[in-house]
Amino acid sequence: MTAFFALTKQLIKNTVKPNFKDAKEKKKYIGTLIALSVCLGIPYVLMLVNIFGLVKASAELGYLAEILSIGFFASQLLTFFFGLFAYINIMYFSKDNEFLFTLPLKSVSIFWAKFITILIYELIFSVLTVIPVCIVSIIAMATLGKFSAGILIMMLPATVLLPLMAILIIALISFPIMKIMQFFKKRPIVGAVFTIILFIAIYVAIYLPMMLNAPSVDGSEIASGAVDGSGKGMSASEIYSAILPSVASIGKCFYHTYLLAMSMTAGGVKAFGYAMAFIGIVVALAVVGTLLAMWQFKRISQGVYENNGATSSSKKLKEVKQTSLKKALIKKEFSSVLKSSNLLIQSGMMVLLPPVLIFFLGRMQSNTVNSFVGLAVAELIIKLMTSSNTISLLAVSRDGEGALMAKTMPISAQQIIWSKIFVGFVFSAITVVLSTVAFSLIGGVNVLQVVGFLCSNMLYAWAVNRFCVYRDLKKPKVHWKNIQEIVNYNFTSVIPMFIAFIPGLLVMGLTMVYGIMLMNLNPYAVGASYFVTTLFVSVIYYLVIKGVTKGNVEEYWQRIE
Amino acid sequence: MNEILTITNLSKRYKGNDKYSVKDLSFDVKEGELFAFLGPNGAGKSTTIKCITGALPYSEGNIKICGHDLHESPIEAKKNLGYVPDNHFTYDTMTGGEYVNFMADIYGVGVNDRKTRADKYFQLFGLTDVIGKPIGGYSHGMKQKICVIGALIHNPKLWILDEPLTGLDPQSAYNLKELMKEHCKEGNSVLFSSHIIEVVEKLCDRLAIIDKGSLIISGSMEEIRTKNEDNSLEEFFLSVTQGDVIVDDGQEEFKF
Repeated sequence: MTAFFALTKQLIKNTVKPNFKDAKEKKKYIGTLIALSVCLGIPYVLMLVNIFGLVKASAELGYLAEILSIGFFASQLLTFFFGLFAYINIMYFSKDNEFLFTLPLKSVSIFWAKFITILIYELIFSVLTVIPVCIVSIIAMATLGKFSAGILIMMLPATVLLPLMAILIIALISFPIMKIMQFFKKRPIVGAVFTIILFIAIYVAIYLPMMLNAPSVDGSEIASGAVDGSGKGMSASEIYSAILPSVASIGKCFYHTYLLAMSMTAGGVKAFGYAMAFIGIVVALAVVGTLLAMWQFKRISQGVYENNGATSSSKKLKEVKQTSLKKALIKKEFSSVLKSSNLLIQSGMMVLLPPVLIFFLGRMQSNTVNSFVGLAVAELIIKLMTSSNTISLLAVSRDGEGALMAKTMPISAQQIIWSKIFVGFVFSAITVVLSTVAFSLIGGVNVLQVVGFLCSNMLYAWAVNRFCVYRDLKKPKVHWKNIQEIVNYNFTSVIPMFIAFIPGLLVMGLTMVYGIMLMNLNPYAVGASYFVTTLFVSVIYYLVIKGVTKGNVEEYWQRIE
Repeated sequence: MNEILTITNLSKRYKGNDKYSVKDLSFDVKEGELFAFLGPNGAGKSTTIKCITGALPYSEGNIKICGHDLHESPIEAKKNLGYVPDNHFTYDTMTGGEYVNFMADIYGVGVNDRKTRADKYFQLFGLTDVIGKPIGGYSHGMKQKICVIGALIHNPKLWILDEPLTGLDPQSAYNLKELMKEHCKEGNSVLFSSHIIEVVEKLCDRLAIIDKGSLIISGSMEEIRTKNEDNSLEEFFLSVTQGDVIVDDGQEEFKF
């Protein structure tokens, strides 16, 4: 057991503890962290204030469990999304596996040490979401003169069990994913496509039936909540009364989180029953998930680095053609991306998930006015996903020490960086086109909305890829033996995503305003206004990014060491 | 002398490849013996070592370390093993001291023993000043030294080193060679792989030459010289390997 604890402790430390070269780097990191905390802290606190109002209103109207259920579900979805990459990378692709199997440790011990590490790593999402929501709920209930013993008792178990459940589902999913990747090891593109399809299919199978069973949120309710017949504004409690019944009914459809929420709010023996039912689901998943994952852990992990040692079938050199430098650089970029399964899966997921999400979420809307709700959600999704493009986030790092070799070549850094932005943009552009198609299929949208969505997000995609590539150029990690070391989900990749929240939320908010305020106008006039607004936001974002990234590329390039 | 390592008919084929990287390999390493594993690039040396250490699975043959079968009782077998891989794997976020302490925890080394050994080796390799610094900032040679210390912290019966002298400065290379000899004198055994003939010739008690995954010859230097009509080891090595260079696990061959 001592060895197991020593390993677990060390793995947790390695995953959580940042690695600094010197004190200067540490200071810079802490500075960035403080700046980010301040920037994100304000909207975060505002969000909690809104949650306070929502919880109070839902408690008064008798919908507290349903609203908590939605909150827990959202938190779990976040863990699920980020957890998949973290799980596969830490469990199977981690470079320490080959080393750990030479130590006098059972493979089960290694599996559990890694599993606990992943759980602790993913706890960050629930600590930042579940605990604050629970505390805010307790305070909101206290203002109503009620003591929420249930929320207090279940707060910590919920914080642990929600991400645990997500990781157990991931453990189940990762098994076929790894099998597919190994089967198609010589054809990474085919393997990546199959994996993505499988992931989306399982994702749809697990989560979306619940969403599809949920009744539509009628936009006219939101609209009538904001503006009554005479155009006079209504109070917040009146708006809540108008929209909460529809919203709350969604919460009931997330069965497992609803059980958890009921265990917090039902009180007495009933609460205990709900808690047991929720814990029962987690235990059942734990038995199936961990048994299957433990059984295959060593075999799959060893298979991963065995594949690294094996060579692919030799191909004869095709007809040699001379191409321009620009074409050669782009070709090299595509080749390096398409030959890396893990990179391809992460990027492919970002390409295919937005249209799938937009389509299913959009289908939950019912009429013309609600197309703006769908559009608002689509805007946020597409902006968040395109800002998580691993190809651009690791544009320079993924070249490894090849980047140092490239420095010796008679090529300008501008050309290299442009080719990297272009290739990242191509993947994002596919996402935008597919998302536009998905969006236009959900109904209730007109051509101006569709064109506006397409044009503004294309411009946004170019800007965000430029930002990501420049970020990596400034501080690349080129010394690695296995690309998984840098593909791992890390702090750096979160920054562009958080920054994407600003235009994302801005466009989302403005879109919602159009949907509510202009519902009685001509839909084409509304569409045109949306077109102009969203394009304006993207242009501003592009100009800001251009300003931020106008540093000397050649200088940054020469600094790589 | 007791056998510390016994390999019987070991064969290893990488997944998805028709060719064997190691085929029907048998040899043993005895107590107190410094054993060299010689072969050209891609001959199967690292694959064999990875099978012995448990890093790679194998389906054919047997490996016994201090009498423990690697398949039947892997933990007991690995407790007797210290391994320095060719890629010098360590956790970059750990400091040198933390890494050695971690290895001592894994092998259950008592506080007094780990302190005595760590002090001795840190001093020997000149790493005392960087004990508290993260390994990520170490040079290639320093990383290798920290791997060596980590592998020796439990005083293993069998110390395995894959291409150990690559990248070491002359003083450290000398220290390492002396340490290997000292380890054998204490009744333990050392198995190391190399393609540098001069090192093997000067250092080892016995050696095995491997090519294209198969054993060409094994025995003491004298036995090999006798069989080879007193030619130098280099001449013999080149004659048996025929100047072949095999790239990547022996699956693609190019002759010059």
